[in-house]
Amino acid sequence: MTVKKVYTPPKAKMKGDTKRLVVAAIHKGCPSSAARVKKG
Amino acid sequence: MKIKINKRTGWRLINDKVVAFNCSNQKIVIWNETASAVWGKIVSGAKYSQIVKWISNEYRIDAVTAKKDTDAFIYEAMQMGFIEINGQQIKNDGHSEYASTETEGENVLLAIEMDAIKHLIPFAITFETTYACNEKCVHCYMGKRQFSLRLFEIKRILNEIAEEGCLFLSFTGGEFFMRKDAVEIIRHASNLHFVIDILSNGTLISEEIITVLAKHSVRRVQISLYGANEKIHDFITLVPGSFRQSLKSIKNLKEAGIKVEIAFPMMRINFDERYKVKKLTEKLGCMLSPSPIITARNNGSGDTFSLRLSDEQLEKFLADDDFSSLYAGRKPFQDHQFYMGLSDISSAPPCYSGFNSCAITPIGKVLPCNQFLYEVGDLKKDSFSVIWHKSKLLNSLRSLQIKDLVNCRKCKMLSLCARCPGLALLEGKGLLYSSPENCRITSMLYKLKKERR
Repeated sequence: MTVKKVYTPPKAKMKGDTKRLVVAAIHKGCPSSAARVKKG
Repeated sequence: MKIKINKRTGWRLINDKVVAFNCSNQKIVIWNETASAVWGKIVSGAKYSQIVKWISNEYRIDAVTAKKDTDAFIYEAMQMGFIEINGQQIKNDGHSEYASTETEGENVLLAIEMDAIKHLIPFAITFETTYACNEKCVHCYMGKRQFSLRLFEIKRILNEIAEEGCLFLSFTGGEFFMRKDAVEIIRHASNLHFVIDILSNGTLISEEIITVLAKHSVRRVQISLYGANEKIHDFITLVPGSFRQSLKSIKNLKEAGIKVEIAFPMMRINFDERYKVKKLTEKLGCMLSPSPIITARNNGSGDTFSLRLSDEQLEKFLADDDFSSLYAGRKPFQDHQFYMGLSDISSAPPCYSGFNSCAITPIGKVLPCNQFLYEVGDLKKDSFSVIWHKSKLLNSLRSLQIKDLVNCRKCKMLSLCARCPGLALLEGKGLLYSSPENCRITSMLYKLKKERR
């Protein structure tokens, strides 16, 4: 017997705009905080 | 009807969910599992009708619902610029009710970061591709000149890190564009769907290179400026004309629609330039990333310390909330506690490098971070997967907790401190000890906080 897959309509779980974000620090930066950003 | 992923989109399947980033408009999305499966169908060349049929069969839902949901997904993906359809538009009949709400991009990035920490996915990797550089910056940490990895080795490593889930890839050097094969590396990385950052001095970015960058998944180019005029900038790079060349590249990149960030490492000699650099950055339409961190050279030499901001300058920087908030580097421990939802900070790891990120040197050594010169593997001997999962050194680093830190664990300023283990290792007494420069900065912050009370 095959089990019916649970259906969720295809869509974004999360989405956003990163245009106004500075991404990471300078050269020797901190990649572990690459996503921890500051607004400029 | 043929659907295609936009060429400037980088993406990766992480834990059954596709994370995609559009380098043209800087939009980011985490698709749900159904959307991720549909994304996979698009990548494998499925047509619209085949996708509708597949959804209907796979989930045993009626064809009308499958079509309506597929249209809503395509509309949402098109709206964010992630997919293209052969000149045809999908009608927006009531699709907005399906579309998810857009949240702050910062929160989306944070969700990915946290997930990567939890599942040990190297989602962000810094790849130093060469020691060579055409500038001779007074504060530069890269010392030794050795033969860098060859193109075929770099391609192999890129294949391996893509397989492990790396999405955000930063190419740096030395100067990345000193490599004659830089464009070939970009093409290969883009074909593997990385979201590419390039850290450069900007002096070697020709119009031909810009044309290539603008066609691939390059998120941003970060270019260092050391002042708002050539006198101070060229004084630091020791290369006459470098300011003019960097500025020209910044303008050309912007015109080509590529995001540019200006890195501004602050030193005793250029600190007074900070507001002028900020103004120039705004005029150029770029983001600014100032930093007060000047490190020892990679060979351990501390002759760069005399270039660091004086105590008086450092205090001015930290007291200027508007300007210091632009610093996008390492965050204090109190933020780690907040983001990770920990009740006891002392059980947290001192740093998350090696959990969700790492660095690769020009000769193929793997480091937890390019600031953290602790070699955990050699890509000339082992695959990335073996190093990432099996390295005893890396696994032992991951087991460290703040309570293991000899001086720091009882420090009253701990929560304000952004102690970097790399600096502790390079400039302090060792891995478990404090970083003297972080102590200096944190003491200053502590003093300012007390004065403001």
